[in-house]
Amino acid sequence: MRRFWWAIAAALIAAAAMSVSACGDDDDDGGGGGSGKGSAELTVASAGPDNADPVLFQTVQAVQVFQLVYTPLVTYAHEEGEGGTEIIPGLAEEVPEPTNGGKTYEFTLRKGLEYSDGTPVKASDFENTMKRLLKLGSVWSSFYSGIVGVPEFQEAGDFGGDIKGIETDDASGKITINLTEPDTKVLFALAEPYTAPTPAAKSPGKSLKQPPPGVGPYTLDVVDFTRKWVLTKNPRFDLPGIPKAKFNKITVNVSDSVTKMTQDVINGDADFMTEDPTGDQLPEVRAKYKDRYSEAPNPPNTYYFFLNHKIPPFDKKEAREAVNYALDSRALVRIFGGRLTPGCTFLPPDLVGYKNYDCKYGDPNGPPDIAKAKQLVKESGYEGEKVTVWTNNKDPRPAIADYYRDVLNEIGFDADIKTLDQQVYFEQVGLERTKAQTGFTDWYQDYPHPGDFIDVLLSTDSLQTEVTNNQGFVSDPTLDKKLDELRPKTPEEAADEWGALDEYAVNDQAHVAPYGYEESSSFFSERMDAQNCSGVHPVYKNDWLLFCVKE
Amino acid sequence: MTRFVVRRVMQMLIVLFAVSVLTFLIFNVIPGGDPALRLAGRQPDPGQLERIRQDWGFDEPLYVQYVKTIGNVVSGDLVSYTTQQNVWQELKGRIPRTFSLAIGAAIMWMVFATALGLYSAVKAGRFADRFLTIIALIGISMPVFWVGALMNYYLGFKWEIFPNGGYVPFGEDPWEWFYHLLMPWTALSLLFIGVYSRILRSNVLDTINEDYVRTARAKGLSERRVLVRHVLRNSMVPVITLWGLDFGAVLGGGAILTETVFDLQGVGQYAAESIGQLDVPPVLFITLFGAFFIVLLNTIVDIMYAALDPRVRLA
Amino acid sequence: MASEPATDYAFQGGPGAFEEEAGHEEVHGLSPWRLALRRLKRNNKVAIVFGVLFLLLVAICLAAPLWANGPADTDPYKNHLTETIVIDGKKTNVVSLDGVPIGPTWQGKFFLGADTNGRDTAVRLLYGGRNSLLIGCAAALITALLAVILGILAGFVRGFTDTVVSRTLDVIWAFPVLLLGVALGTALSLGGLEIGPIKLGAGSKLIPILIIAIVYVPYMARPIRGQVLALREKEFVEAARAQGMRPSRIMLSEILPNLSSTVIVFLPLMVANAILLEAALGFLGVGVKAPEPSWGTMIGDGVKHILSGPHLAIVPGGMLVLTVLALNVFGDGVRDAFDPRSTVRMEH
Repeated sequence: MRRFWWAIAAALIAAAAMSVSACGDDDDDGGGGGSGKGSAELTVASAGPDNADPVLFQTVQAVQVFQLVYTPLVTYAHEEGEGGTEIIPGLAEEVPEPTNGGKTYEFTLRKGLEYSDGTPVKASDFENTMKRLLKLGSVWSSFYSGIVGVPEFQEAGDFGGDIKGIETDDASGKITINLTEPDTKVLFALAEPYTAPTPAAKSPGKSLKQPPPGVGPYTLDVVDFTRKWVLTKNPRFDLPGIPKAKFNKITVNVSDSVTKMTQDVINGDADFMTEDPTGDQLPEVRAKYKDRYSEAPNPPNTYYFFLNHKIPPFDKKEAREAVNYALDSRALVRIFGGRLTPGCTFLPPDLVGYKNYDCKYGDPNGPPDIAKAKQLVKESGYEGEKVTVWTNNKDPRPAIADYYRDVLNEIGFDADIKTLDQQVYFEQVGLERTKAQTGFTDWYQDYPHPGDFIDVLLSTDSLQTEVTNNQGFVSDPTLDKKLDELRPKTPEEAADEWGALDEYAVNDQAHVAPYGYEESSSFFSERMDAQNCSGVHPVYKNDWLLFCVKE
Repeated sequence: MTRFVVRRVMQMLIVLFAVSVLTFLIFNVIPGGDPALRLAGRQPDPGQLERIRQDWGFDEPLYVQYVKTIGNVVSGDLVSYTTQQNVWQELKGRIPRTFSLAIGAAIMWMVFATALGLYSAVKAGRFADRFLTIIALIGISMPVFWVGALMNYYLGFKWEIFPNGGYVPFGEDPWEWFYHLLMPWTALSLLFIGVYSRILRSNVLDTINEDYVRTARAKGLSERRVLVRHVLRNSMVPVITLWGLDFGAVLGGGAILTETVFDLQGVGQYAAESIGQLDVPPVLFITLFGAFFIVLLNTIVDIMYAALDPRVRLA
Repeated sequence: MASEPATDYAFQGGPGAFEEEAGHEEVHGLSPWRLALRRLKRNNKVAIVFGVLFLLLVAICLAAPLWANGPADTDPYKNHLTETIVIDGKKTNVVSLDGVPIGPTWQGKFFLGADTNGRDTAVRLLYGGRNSLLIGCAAALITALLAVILGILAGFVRGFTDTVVSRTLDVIWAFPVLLLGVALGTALSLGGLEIGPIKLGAGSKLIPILIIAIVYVPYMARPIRGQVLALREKEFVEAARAQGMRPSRIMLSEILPNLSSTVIVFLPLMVANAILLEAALGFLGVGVKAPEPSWGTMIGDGVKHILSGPHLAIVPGGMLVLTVLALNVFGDGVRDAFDPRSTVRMEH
């Protein structure tokens, strides 16, 4: 008899637990809703910004959101394609020409500017933002190390301290920035959303869980960091040259599942996705939804293998050249599901400074030269050498690494693979003590300046930080000297020289092994006008201010 | 009896403590990730790493870190290394999903296992029985993630009978919640249906020959009454205790695979992702959470047995 | 993961009648082994068939090099991304520019199709089988070894040893199986294992073997401990003690042999579960390391490409199911043969 009652008890407990769990369950998963609400609202599916603090975000998903909320002193034009690389005035009245031999930039704030919460914009707010950027250890801090007083400020570690190279005057709205030496990259770096002024009173020296007010077409509310972010139209926003908000509300539904995001865009539950459909879904998407799907190598990027110059076997140029001869971009195109443009240059096309020089190691659209590669491996003296290919677990990087391993074996090395989680990968291979011989890496432009590639990735200066983006530990005096010459020049005037430097790095020295440029996708729901308003932007990847609904 | 209960509860706490220490050690002692690097982002300067170590307490001795972490677990202040968000906040949204999956599957497997096991036993030795045994064995042999993936592909994607994975909260749409969970429930239950139907079958076969059953029949009760009231009830007891143990195990971690395949974003999936990222705080929390359920259900079962059988209390 | 509490354990396959020398009446008892074999042959032909099936699958996997070097003409690691083959007279890309691999061709090359790196699925299936079977069997044997040692120590010596061993087993048992496996797998994948003189590289197969073995020890050790507890009360043990035999001698010569049937019954089920756990770990990405294939990692990769290449998941999964099923049916038969009333269970 007792046993029977236990069975009943168990069933009751189960039912109770079920209802408790069901009731506790009313977070808005974001499955429904979205585009049904007419042209006033937009729904975006995304892997989500990685940080709620506007100086600490790092990912392309984050910049797409934050650029709608924060306008810096100068900013990038909101135009598709190359037009988007132009720097236009943001909060400043005009884009300054550098004075004092290229070392001083003087900005004047527009009059009467207000943040989204009504507080007036002060010049000193800018210095406050820069101090936050540096004090909180933002990944972008290295862009501004050329400003006078920045290294001292970082070392002192005191948020209350002063950055000598930034002088602001609230009364006149003037902001003066002094550099230690002329470097045109800094202006480009200042046009990025993370330098945008925010009210100093609401922006203390610690990281924020909710974004502070800014001057932008939208305001941002982090409803649920890993589920939902909401952008609301900012009625106060009115700056010349920057479009106003078209939608009253943009809901960003954060999810881990790219498969689900693609499904949502297909059936209209989401209007746009910041991710690329999985390789598995691409054939179907390309076939069935041609009119709302497009690909472009944007933002300009290069995919390459780093070659560690400090340890065998790639301390020898012959070994590095062998890799370049042996790689077959056509094979890699398949691994990318077709989303790769083969290429042999380090600077990508669409970046000023790109030079379409002769591919010394063979036509990227043609077969590799395995025989020559084998011979070079022999010449390097490293035939049979054990090589570990490093990669991370984000698709399709494991497949890329396996192909690379196979190629290395074919030309005479003894290769295997080591896979790390994508969260920890770059911090590991960027450490010298890891002794990673070679492996996967890629670089998307942060701002449209060739220095963002060559200077940041191949210079000896870039080896200063403990974790470097120069995973090959390239330290070439000729290259460094040329970089010194190029820093004071604008990208346009030095374009040819940058191209020549690229050719030197790849053809002459085989410092890296580039194989192509990834094409990112823009996939829209049925109601969006994908043909005319895809918002493809070189800095933000897709500028949501340019989206529009079909008439 | 009380002494026994107290003793078992003490054991439970000791085991949980040991589990927490073990988890902590696995990630902090075995060579691998420096959490300061993870928190610092892509290009930290040397001073920054030091500051992070001080802020988060990574430079303190291990046992101090352990005590602090456990303190955070209890107070709900645990913060993830990867997202720097509060772990409990994140889990709160995920727990209903895992519970929905586990409880639903548990009910499903119990119902089907009972039906199949009983039927098998009644038709013992005949074709139906042999056939069902093979089916049960096949069920035990199929990895849940494989079955789940194939179901998702054929039933979800190709023939579009069921939705293609994902989870809809009950509060949002009860029918969709149910509809989305049908495939995951089935995938997860198949294995257990196989196991339990056979256990039940053999228990039923044992009891069906007992004297009291013969007495019941002699008394003139209908066969069905005999089966349900006497045979089934007595055969179910060991099954129910096993059910408790397995349910604890599913809740504790077996749900990982089903959640990953159907992208339910439950606790298990979160645990697997956090482990891959060497994100110790969520892993610690979830492991304790899972171990707690396993140990709790184990203890309850042991106590129930002790209540029934005095000999056990001395063990 | 279920196993009854030790006190409910009732394994009746203990020492049966042992053969008696001539001089007594013609009572010819059979050893438990002979008895089991006879029962198996008589009652459970199905189990024998599946047992043979398992051995066949093992043989096929061991013969992997024959297939690879022969009709397939490749190895499990070679990428054939830019190659073409002729099917039905038409030249086809092994992997299309879209990244879609070909399905089964039923020819020598790419008999079961290719994967997204252009590797031969059939070849990888066989080599992967070697790895999966190796890991499964090795882990099961190590589990059995550890379980027997720990079970005897805990059950026979009792006292403090028993407490320590039982609590340790409890801790391992409490740890959610998959989480423990994934945690250990991840932690060890970064730098391998270095304990004193023992050094294992991160890619060593011994790591998944050890992880799986350790995780399953409690499932076997507890019932064995229970059996040892029962055995030590038996007369022959008392007799041995009265004779002055040392405890260690008793454990070895009296207790151990009587556990053999338990171990035999457990083994096929343990191998089956080890193979399934290896597959689960591989699916989650912490099993055998690339580029070594295993059924688990193949299923994991296959699931990622299930829309464009369903054969990639179906093939290794099907093979896995067949192998585990064979082991389960055979294991069932073995258990029934040793004792039709046995309640030994080892399911997850």
